[in-house]
Parts: sequence; structure tokens; C-alpha cells
Amino acid sequence: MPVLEVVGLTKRFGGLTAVNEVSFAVDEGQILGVIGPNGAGKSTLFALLTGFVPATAGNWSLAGTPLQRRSPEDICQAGMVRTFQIVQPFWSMSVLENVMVAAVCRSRSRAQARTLAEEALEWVGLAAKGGNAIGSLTIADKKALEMAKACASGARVILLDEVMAGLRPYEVDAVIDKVLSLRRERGLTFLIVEHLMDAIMALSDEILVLNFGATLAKGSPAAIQRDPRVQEAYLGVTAHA
Amino acid sequence: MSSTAFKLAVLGVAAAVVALPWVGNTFVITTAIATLYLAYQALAWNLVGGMAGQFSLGNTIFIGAGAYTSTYLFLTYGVSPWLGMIAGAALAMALAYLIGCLTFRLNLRGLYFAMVTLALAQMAQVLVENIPALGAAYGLLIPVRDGDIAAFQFESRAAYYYIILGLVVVAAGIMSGIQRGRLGLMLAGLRENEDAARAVGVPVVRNMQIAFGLSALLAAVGGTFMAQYTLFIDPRSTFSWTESVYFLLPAIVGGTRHWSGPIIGALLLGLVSDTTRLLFGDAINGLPQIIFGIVVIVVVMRTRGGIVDWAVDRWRSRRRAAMKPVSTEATRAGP
Repeated sequence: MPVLEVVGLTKRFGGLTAVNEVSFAVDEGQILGVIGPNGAGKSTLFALLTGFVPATAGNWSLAGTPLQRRSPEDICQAGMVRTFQIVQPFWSMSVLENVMVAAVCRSRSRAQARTLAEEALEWVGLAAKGGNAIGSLTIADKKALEMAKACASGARVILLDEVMAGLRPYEVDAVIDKVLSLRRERGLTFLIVEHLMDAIMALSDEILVLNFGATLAKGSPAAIQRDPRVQEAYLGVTAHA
Repeated sequence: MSSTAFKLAVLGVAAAVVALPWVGNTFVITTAIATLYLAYQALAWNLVGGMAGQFSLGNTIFIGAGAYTSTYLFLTYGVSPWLGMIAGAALAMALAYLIGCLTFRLNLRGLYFAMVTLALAQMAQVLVENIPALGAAYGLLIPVRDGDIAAFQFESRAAYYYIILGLVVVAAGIMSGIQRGRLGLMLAGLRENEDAARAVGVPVVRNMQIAFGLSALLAAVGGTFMAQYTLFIDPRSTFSWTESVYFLLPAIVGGTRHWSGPIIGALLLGLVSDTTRLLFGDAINGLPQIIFGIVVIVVVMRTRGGIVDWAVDRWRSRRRAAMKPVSTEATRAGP
């Protein structure tokens, strides 16, 4: 039974079709990788799914609840949250306060928001830095903070937009471990946009390849790596036998 | 300053504030009432302007709703202004809701919100100027009934002083309560980064509506108070945009994040405005206003976020520097 179902999702900006009739489904606890060359529509797809950009056509639903024309905050409360490719912290607040903002909507009190926020910081390995100012964080910490906010919101489906970009190899490994343990221990579902092929192949159960806004291929990491259409889209050459 | 000394100082100030009507002359009490009223309206504005980050230039609509509702009901139907005050506050909240639907829902926030509220305030003025039942451009005069408490009139100025003092305490308490609660956290998130806050589920329209509604409620109650204190209201002095700006200045100068900010700002601006008027008012035309303007510019330039916010930030960074040798992270985050 899929938790997220997307049917015919389309976004046109004037004459440009950024996302073209994209359909897919994600099961609970699944990790779906979304890849494609620059400008393929990956980030637009995430913005559409979470209500930041209005869709031109198409439907999508979370556990049976239709989400089209809903606001980002509604969609988060329905259980789907995104992170931002360029980290979006609340600069004047501490790390803990940042995550408390994410937890406050499903809390009865500020104290409960604090408890939930501390828990989320624990999950992503930032517990020791709760009192820190944002300015003192490394890139990896800021990306981890984005994940902590997503977890603290209570959403069950998390859209990670390039949370590994710009990280050192050992930091990338740490993120992979975190995502896998969140899936294993919390049962969270992930959609991941990422340019680091090794990371996305290692993480994903299934991969969706976008090209010029349309679905180019969908399948297991191994199948995608062998797919000549994918090689052509990425390398610009046809892999003749 | 040690904490005992600080507590003593606070107690001393509180005692002086409470005792003021007994020791001060009419001039002192009148000035104090005007300053407290300024602080009160600045606190009301700060709920929407500071905490929600929506620069309202139309809070005079709500002040007017309060003043005109209670006065009209009293003059026409003999309804006690105390009840009229409640009716006025309800009308103001309804208007804030409608304006919020027009602005927040249609994404008219920030600068657009300022423009829309300014335009609506101007329209309110023109509207009232053309309604004979509301006294049109001449305004409404409330007959003097000194000592008739049911008519919201008192023999001594001290009574008005204590009422506005109580209102300031209530407004500061509301702001402080919001700041410490869930709403304060959500507003802070929306103010700092609206998209990031919405992404994690913070509702933007509802929170803005609540902040705007509370601001309108407080502004309207203040409007009734002012009408009863001066016993005269007219459209120009009620709705004028200069009033809007005047009531938001204390928050900008004093600080928007702590309840004491708008109060400190009102004290400073009230003091500057009155002393310069006393000293130079007759000698050089316009000089008091110029000095007032310079004070605003200098304070805003020096402190950016306002006096109190600036002081709090300095105090925090100093304390952080002092605590550096001991790891703050380990003690805060726990095991």
C-alpha cells in the first residue's frame, strides 16, 4: 500500500514545462532516489509536492488524503515535509530553538516542543550543539539541522533536497547512516534528490530519473545504472553495444 | 548589577510609578498619562508590527473603532462606555479579521501590508468625516459628568492614570505571555524565514490573524480610554497616518522583542518631546520636532533593533564570553 501516490503531476512556467506528467508511488518506509541532469525538474517536483509552487495539473495524495491546492503548512501537518537545498535556518535563534519551531505545531506547550526538539536533535547527532548559534555550525551541521527540523515536524514522509552536497566523504557516509537508521527505527519514508551517485545508489530502494521534466526511467539502482537512456541523458552519448 | 540590587531598583521604580499621582502636580500627571498611553498603543502595535513582523500603518482604524463605538453608543443610547468599550473591541477585532482576509490570505504581506493598512486608515477617516451620526468632520463631544463612574468619568486625573497604567501592565503581560508560549515561537519562525517556517508546518495566515486581532483589541480599548479622557473625538486626530507612525515609533526605538522595549521607547520619546517643547517650543519654531527626529535617527542607527534588544544582545554576548572557559554545550544539552 503506497503512502505517497503521484498521478500526472505537471508544472508549466509559461512555455517551459518544468515537470511533465510525472507519476509514481512510494511505499511506507521506502527510500526513493530522484536523479536527473541539472534543470530536469527535481527541485520543482519537491516544491510542487510540498505546496510551495502551485501545480498546473495532476493529483497527489498522502495516505489517501489529496494534497493538491493545499498550503505548505497543511501538507506538513498532513505528514510530508521538505528540506531546502540551500539551508534555511532561523538565524537569530539557537539550534534547539530552530528545531522547536518545527515541533511547536504538534505540541501542546513550549515545554513539549522542547522535548520533541531535543529528541530530533538526538536522532541526527546534534544533541550536544543545542545551545549553539547557527553561525557557529559547519555545513554538515547545518544540513543535519535541516533534517532535525524535518523530523521534529512529525512528518512521516521526508523530502531531502541535496542534503549531502558540499560534504566531505566521511560526512556523506554519516548522513547515509542517519537516513537508514531513521527509516529502520522510526519507519520514516524518504524521497531524496542528490547529485552524488554513489550515495544515492547506496541509499535508494528505487530510483526515479527525470529528464526535461519527464520521467525517463524508474527502477532499482542496479537497473538504472545499466539503462542506456539514463547514460545518454547524463553523458550525452548513446551507449551502443 | 547584583540581582538584589536589580530587584530593589525594580521595586523602587514600581513604588515611584504607583505613588506618582500623589506627589506630582497636574502637569506631571497629564504628561505621565500621555506617555503611558503612547507606551500602551506601541505595545498594541508591536503585537502585529514587531512580533508578527507585519508593519501595520492602520492601527488607528481600531483605535477609532473603539473610540467611536463607545462614544456613539453612549451619546445615542446612553450605553455605559464600559460596555461600549467591549463592543468597540469586538468591532475592531472583526475589522482586523476582514483586513487580515484581504491581506494575509492574498499574500499582501510586508510592504504591501503597510500600504493596504495605510490606505484603509485614510478611507476610514474620509468615511467618518461624511457620516453625520458620527459627528462628521466636526467630531463628537462627550458631555462632562465628572465622578460618574458608570459614564467612565472621574473627578481626579489619578483615576485615569491608574487605568492607563493597568492597561500598560496588561498589554505588557500579553506580549510577554505570547513571547514565552507557542504563539511566540511560531511568530518568530515566520518573521525570520517564512518559507522555512511554513515548510515545517507553521500556519502563516492563522498566526498573523491572531496577532493582528489581539493588536486590534488592545488598540480599540485604548481608543475608548482616550475618548473618555479627552471627552472629544474627531476623525482627523483619530485616524491620521501621523498618529499611526507616532504609535509605532516607541517600539522601533525601544525594541520589539521584549515587553519593556515599547515602554522604554515611549518614556524616551515622551521625555524628549516634552522637555524640548518646554525649553525651545516658544523660542524657535520647529526645533522640538527637529530634535525629536534627530533622537529617533541616532537611537535607530546606534542600536538597530532598538534600545532593549541591543542591551539584551550585548549582555548575552558578554555573558557568553565570560562563560567560555566552562563548556556551555555540555551543561545545556545534557547527556
